[in-house]
Amino acid sequence: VVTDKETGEPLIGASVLVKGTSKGTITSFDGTYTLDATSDEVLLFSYTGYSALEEPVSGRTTVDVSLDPGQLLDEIVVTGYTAQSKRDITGAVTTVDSEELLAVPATTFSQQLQGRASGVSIVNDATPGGEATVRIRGFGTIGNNNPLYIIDGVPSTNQSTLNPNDIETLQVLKDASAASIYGSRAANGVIIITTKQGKLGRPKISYSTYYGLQSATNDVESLNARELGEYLYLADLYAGKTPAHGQYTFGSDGSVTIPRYVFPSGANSVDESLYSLTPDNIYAITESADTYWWGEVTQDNAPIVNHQLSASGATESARYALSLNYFSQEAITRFVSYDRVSLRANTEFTVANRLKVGENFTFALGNRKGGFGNNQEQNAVSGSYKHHPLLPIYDIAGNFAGSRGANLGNNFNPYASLFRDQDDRTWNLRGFGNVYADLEIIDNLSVRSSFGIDLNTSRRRDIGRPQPEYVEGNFINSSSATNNYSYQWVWSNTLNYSHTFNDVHQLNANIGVEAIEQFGEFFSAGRQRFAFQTTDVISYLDLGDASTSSNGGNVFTDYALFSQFGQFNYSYNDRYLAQFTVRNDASSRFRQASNSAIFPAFSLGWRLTEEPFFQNAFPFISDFKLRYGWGQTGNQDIGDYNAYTTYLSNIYAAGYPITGAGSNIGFSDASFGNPNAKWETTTSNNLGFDARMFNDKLELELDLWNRITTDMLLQVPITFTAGDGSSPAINVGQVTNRGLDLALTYSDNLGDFRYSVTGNFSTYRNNIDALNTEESRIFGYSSRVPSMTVTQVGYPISSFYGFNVLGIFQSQAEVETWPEYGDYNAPGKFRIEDVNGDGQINDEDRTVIGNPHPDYTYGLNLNIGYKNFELTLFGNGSQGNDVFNYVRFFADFNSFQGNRSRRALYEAWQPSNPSAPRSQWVAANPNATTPIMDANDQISSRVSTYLLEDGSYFRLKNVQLTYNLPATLAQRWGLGGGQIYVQGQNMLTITNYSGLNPEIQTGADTTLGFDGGYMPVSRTIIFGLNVSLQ
Amino acid sequence: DDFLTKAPQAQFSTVALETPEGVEGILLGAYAMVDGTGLNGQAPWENDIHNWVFGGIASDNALKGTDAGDQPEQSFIEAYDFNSFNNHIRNKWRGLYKGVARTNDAINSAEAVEALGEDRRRQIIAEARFLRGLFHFEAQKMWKFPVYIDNTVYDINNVESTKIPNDGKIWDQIEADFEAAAAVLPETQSEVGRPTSYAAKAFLAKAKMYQGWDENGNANLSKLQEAKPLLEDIINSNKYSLVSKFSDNFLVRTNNNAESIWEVQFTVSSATGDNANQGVGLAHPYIAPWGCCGFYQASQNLVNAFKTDANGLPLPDSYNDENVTWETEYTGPLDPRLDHTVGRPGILYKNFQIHGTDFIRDLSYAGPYSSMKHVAEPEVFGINGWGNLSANGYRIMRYGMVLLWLAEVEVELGNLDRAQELVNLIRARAANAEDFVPKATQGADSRQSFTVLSEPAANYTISEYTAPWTDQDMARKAVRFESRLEFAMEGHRFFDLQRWGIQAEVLNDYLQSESRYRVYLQGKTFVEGKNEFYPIPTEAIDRSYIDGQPTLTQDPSYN
Repeated sequence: VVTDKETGEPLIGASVLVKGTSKGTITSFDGTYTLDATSDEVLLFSYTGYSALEEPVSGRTTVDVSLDPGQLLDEIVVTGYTAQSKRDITGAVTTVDSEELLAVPATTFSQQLQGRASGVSIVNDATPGGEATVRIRGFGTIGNNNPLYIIDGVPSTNQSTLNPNDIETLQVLKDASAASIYGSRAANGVIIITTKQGKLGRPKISYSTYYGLQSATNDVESLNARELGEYLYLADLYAGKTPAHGQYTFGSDGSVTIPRYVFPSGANSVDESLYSLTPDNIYAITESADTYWWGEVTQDNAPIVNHQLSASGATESARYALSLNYFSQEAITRFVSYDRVSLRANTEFTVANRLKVGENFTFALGNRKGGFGNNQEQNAVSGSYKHHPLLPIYDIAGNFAGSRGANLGNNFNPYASLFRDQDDRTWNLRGFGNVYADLEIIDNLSVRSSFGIDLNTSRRRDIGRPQPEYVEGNFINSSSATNNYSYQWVWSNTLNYSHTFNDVHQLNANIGVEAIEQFGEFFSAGRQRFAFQTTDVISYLDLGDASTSSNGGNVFTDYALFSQFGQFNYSYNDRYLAQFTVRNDASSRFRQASNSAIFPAFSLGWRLTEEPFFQNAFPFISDFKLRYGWGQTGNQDIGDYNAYTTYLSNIYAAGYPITGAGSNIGFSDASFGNPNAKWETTTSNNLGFDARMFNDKLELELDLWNRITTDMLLQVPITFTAGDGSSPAINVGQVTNRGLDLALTYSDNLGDFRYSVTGNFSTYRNNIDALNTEESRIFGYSSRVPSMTVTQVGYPISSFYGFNVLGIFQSQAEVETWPEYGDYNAPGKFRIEDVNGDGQINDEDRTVIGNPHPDYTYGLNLNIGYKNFELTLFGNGSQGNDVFNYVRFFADFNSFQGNRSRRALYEAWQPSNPSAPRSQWVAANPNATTPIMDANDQISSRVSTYLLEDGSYFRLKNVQLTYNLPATLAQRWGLGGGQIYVQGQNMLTITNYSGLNPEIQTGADTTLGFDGGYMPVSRTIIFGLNVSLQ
Repeated sequence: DDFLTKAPQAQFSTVALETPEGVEGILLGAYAMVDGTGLNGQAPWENDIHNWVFGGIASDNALKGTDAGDQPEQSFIEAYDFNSFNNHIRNKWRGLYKGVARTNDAINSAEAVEALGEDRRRQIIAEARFLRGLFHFEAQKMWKFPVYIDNTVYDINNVESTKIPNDGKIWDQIEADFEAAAAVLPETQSEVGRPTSYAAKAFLAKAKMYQGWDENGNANLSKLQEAKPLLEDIINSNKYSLVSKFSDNFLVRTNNNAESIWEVQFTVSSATGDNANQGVGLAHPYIAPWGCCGFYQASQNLVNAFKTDANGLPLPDSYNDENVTWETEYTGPLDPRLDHTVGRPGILYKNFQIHGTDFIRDLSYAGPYSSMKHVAEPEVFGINGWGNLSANGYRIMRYGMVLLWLAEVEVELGNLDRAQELVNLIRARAANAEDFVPKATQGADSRQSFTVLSEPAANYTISEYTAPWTDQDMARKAVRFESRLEFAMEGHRFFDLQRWGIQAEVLNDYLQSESRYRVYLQGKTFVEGKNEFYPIPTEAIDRSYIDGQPTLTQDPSYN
């Protein structure tokens, strides 16, 4: 019988081998096994998650052993082209347990990684099928900070479509000493993933599923129809206008009368028989309403479903693992969803004991449905803030009602937009995997060859339906199709030697060559004016009007890389550890003269617990390893043709009707080349330790690090007089990141009660040391307001930039002592800081006003177990980062006609004596935070600290209660094991941020923390079941 | 090494264009920037050759229109709160200097490609210099101290090459470009978009007219005398004439007519609007069929300017004392050009439908008047998916301008009779009763059902000056007033006031009167000595550094 050393429970499926032979078996339901062995042979016992044990038979007929679950020290992790004992790692490597990852249902592994690893900051995109922005140890460059993913040895920068349920292990290589084996693409860190392999034993078939219900966690706070009328009245009044509106009528006391009909504007009676909504007669009669748009565009209990069926097993000569997965998620906004089907097959065959051949392959089809784009001013979130509450969803004839009519604004009917986009699709087909052979040439020396591919095609269908009710709308329907196609292949060959000399000198050496090529192109086409807008017609371009055809095609990726690399590990008696790495990369992205570069690294480790003095001084410390690493990594993400000056030829930039009709198309500058670019280099230092103490109850990992990026490749903004081609990347900048990563775990048992607490904490400071000039300013994204982020020397990347609001003028007396700001300054208006002290407020008083980088981020996990019950709480947070709440630009100010936030009315400064001249106004509410309502004010909405908010939050991401089926019960039911759970996701978010979600993923690293209307996270209740047959 | 060589795909290399076809294409790429659209990430209205923002809403003719919150950057321009980070100003700069770069590339390419042949090379260079002059001209109107970039400076393989200082006005270089073009270009062109020698002369004359007065409004007679023979040369060529109907200058059907000396070409198809008049897309009424977006409304001041006395002569001194009414029909005498220039309530709007207050996005904000000259006729509405886009050419250089500039010159030279004669040519054409907007009555079925009556829409009364002009000041005022009426809402007004040196006086008066109806203009001021020109965009200066020093310097009045 094989049992658990701590609980005494029998272990099912543990493997038992006769040492030095191929004889073996696995234990059955009650932990028993039967095996032929002679009395002088030795049995090898192993079980996942337990330390292996060697037990001589010594003449016995029954050999009972118990395995120790606490000893995980010898966990083998993949850290590059080879695997390494976790115990011997000297670089900064974080390993994340796949069970932890899977605790959070999500579309991609990177979303699940959030809060799990120190030094890794992750920002999620809550749209179904959305991805996550992953940043490892800050921002090393301005161009591209995405990490490299290595999945079963195949590199990729694309996290999407992979089924996270297939992941066996995940390692994050955070510093250069660990990552530099990946050379030129490792500057932003590397995430290594291996997928599940079959384990020795009988075939195991398992099924896991969950079903969840998602609802919005947060509501848009907008005014109702009457409140908006009150706001508009006051805004006109305080602007000095006679209050008037195309729909509302105002009494002289400010009372608001709502008309019966909003179209025709403000009517109280209308001949409904005149209704018409045709191109030559637009007279759509609409009754006024009081619509809470957020309520209309969202749904409660949107389902999320996952089914995973897998089979795995292994014999002495073959291992296999197969899986089939279906995932589907609806968004909390209506008519938006995602689903995905994925298959995986991993197999490995051992031939003649010395040769292994195998493959890992996955194939997935994802499908994003419907229309929701983050950061868009007409999406359902933004629309809920600004679509007019007087408008209903439908007009009197049951057609969608819109904003035709006076002073109703120009927002789309947000419900209609979602409805009309519901047949939009993005299909993504991905094949990913490799085939490999591993030959042990002689003992300790093996050669491995792996050929991997990453194939991606995607197709997008975008249907444009008429919006006849929309004030700027039309009756034209349209459809467009976009196809992307790309491939990558990678061929790597490595030679590995490992040997232990004299029992104390452990040596492992690994050298290799690798070639990579990637290519991708896209094609798009569209037509308009389909005869019908039924989905089966409008989906097919052939059915549209051929004279409206448009199309385009381009190459989006095209490069090749050729590399040689080597790695050398040495350890002396487990006490002194050393690793040396070097890689040479040559890339097509650089011209021949400087197209290759060498990336060296080393790291050292010292296991102090092997030293007697240390053991004596700190007897409670069972393991302590001090680590230091130094290394260089590179970045070559500068576009494929940086060296070349090129022209484009398209009608927009280069076309002109020189004959007065048609268009002649010439050439215009596309990009300027820089043949002299070379690699950007990141040099990092890492000092850390790993410790276990108090009988291994406490584990601690601490790393202090810095990363300095030199020769940073920067697309230096070129002078406008050179033209409009894109600027080439040149090596000019320097960025420093430094920080601290901390992870700790404490676990213990009290009888049947067990618990563990895991926490991680990360912090970094980012600074731009140099750009092309000291004064250089690189501005980020500009929307309806000029860019609100700037990247400049002496500040972190993407610092917020604008005016500093010091408060609100309470009286004319305060105004008069303040520097002039055109004719803006008045009671109730913002008091803007005169930053340069020149006695006036103007453009020059804009300054750095905030920082999108957090002071620190953290994750906390608590596990409590009692007998067969397990309770898990997991939360993560970010502290001290600012968010630019662009939604307030249109919710709090007169940027559009339409609705306003509650803040715009209820927190606005108001005079207690509005009939007095403005100069005599007295504050009715001196604590107001929002400036006075003023229909003519366009200055207050300029980029300032008012639009900036503290984005700190803590979110209880996950609470899960699990019941594990007792082995006896499982056995009675014929199961290998079983588990049911109930989970609550995002049950609590603590934040002062006023928007729907403080987690903001912007995409461009020169514009961080810009909230232009994001899909909020949902509160989800999930029911799950895992069973296995063996 | 082959494995690591990836030549650019889906783009043209510089080498590939070293052919005659390549050079012609590069030249076409320069023409592509004439309309102002074609920049990466640019909204078309931010840099539009029609200049409805910089020349229109910044002037006394027009208001931003639409509602208070829409495109606040335009409101800042309207209120003379010119920000150096305003995207409109930034993209105007970007677009004009991209155009300049394209012309320089065309010249350098033409000089490098042997196979082009000497004749064609000279023509290409002349066309490119014409365009280079035009782009720089627009820049000189916008900024007090623009920078002048020529082909000897410009090197496409060195993005630093054009970092040179802006150290003064660039009229001499602009004139040199037009002179060189005029000397080489033919008198006629088979392709209507290409400039003739007369077009080059007209722009050369225009450049001199822009130097005709100093900032205090004092005439620079020598410049005006230089303009005179150029203008006369164009007139005496008899190649151009005023078309019989004033409104034919604003219709797609009559693009490139006899009055057009050089016209910005647009084209539109059902498949693409990329070469359509995108820059004015927003400047259409806020009602079906246009629906977007109600920008560029006419001021009350402009409408009042079209009042005439009982004899049909303008009222340059008293026009703004009383308003042309709109709540009730105005029955006083009016210049008929008004209703080809401004959409007014109750009047048939370019044959689409009768203008109502529902054309307007926010009546209480920007009043009841729409713009219309750039709006295409109903027959060509809706060719593209966005119906507003059309092929309505922008008559940037029309014969009427030549006549009135010559009148301006003659006034300053004391030849008042000749000036009056020229003005009367313009007025006589405007008086063509066949071109009067007819009265229409609304039908019941829909907004589009209306009946056209055989009487004019208003009390149109216009006549030529008959009493001889004896007073130079009065004559100057009459000529300038005629320019305002003839070219209103065509993007010239702010810059005409600039060249006459009278912006502050006129625009501050305008703010005074217009803010009575447009409350948001209250308290706004045009700052003399500053707002005559726009600030150089901050980003242009930021991007001009060499060795830690910017090569471009800001207009000192904006420091």
